[in-house]
Amino acid sequence: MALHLNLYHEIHTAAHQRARDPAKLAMIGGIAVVLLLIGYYFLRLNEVETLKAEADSMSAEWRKLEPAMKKAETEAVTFTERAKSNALLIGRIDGRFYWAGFLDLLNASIPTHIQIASLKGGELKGAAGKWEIFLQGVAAGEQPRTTAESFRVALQEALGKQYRDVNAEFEANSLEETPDEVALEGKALNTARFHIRLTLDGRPPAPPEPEKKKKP
Amino acid sequence: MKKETLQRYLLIGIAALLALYVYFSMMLGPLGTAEKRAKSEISRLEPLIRKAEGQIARTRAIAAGDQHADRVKKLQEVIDASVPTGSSIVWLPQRITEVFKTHRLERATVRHLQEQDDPFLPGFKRATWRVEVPEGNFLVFGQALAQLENQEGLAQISQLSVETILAKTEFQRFSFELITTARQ
Repeated sequence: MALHLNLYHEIHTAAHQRARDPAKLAMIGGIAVVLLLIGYYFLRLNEVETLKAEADSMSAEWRKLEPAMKKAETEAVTFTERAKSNALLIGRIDGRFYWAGFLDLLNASIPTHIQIASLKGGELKGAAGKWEIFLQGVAAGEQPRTTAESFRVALQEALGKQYRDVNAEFEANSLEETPDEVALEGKALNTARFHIRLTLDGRPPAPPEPEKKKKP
Repeated sequence: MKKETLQRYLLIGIAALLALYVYFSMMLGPLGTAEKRAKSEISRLEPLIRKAEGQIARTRAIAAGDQHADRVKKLQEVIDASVPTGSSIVWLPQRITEVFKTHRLERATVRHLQEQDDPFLPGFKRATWRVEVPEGNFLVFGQALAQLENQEGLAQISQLSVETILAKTEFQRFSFELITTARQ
């Protein structure tokens, strides 16, 4: 067995002691803690800077949006009012009552045994689109009251094809026979006076709703 | 342990405590405050921005939801083109009587009754007129009325009266009230 001499044992022992020096170990630990704290600080700094940037960007957005919102609030009132008045105006045009069409229909509904002496009509106040028309006339026939009644029914039916809520009725005590006679188609016929009150909705009928597509 | 070494360790400890104080109170402290402020600003602004965006979207929806806007715009253009400038008292009676004249109802008269602001068309007025045709045939009058109603798109006859002339039973007397839209 060869003899091995360590002539540097003192140096080795000193180096070994230096390596285990608590002051040095504490210093290394301290540096590590300091590095960790610095790292954490920069991490937090980054987080806070991100938040601040977000707050700044939101603040800038709000500065832009606030006047736009105030403008939109004012405009919303204006637009709502305008939409309302537009709808009313279009309703006024679409719901227009054409007298010429009505007179044409009335003329076609009057048989030879009926004579209309006067017609007076106008829009019913407080009821948009509703019209009230008074007809005064004379009916001739063997039974003039029946002739007048037939005319009233026929008129209601004819107008009902064009207008909604048509109602034709004799005014109270208005249907009365007169002593006069008229000659019509070579016959002497009795006569009766009548007053008819017509009410109708002059607005055009609502367009039909589109058919719903059936699911396959 | 030597006294010098002890003093050195004590000094290092004090320095470390001081450094920690500086770190937490002067470095992390302001960061925390800034974070708190930023978070509170964000939580304040978030609902405001949402509200503003909602209001802007609602206003756009209201503007887009007006189904009649295009028709009214076109109508306004038609009125601008068809309604002459100047007071309607000057030009409208002539325009109405012309219609009746074309149907040989020569004696039609037009009287201005009243005028008020049109609530639906800014810058326009609603005028009421009384038109009288003292004598005419019912069918001819009906044709003239049809022409008038087609020509005056915004006019509405609000009242109409037809009476048989007792002396001439084949003729009638006509009168009606016409409401028109006229420029202010």
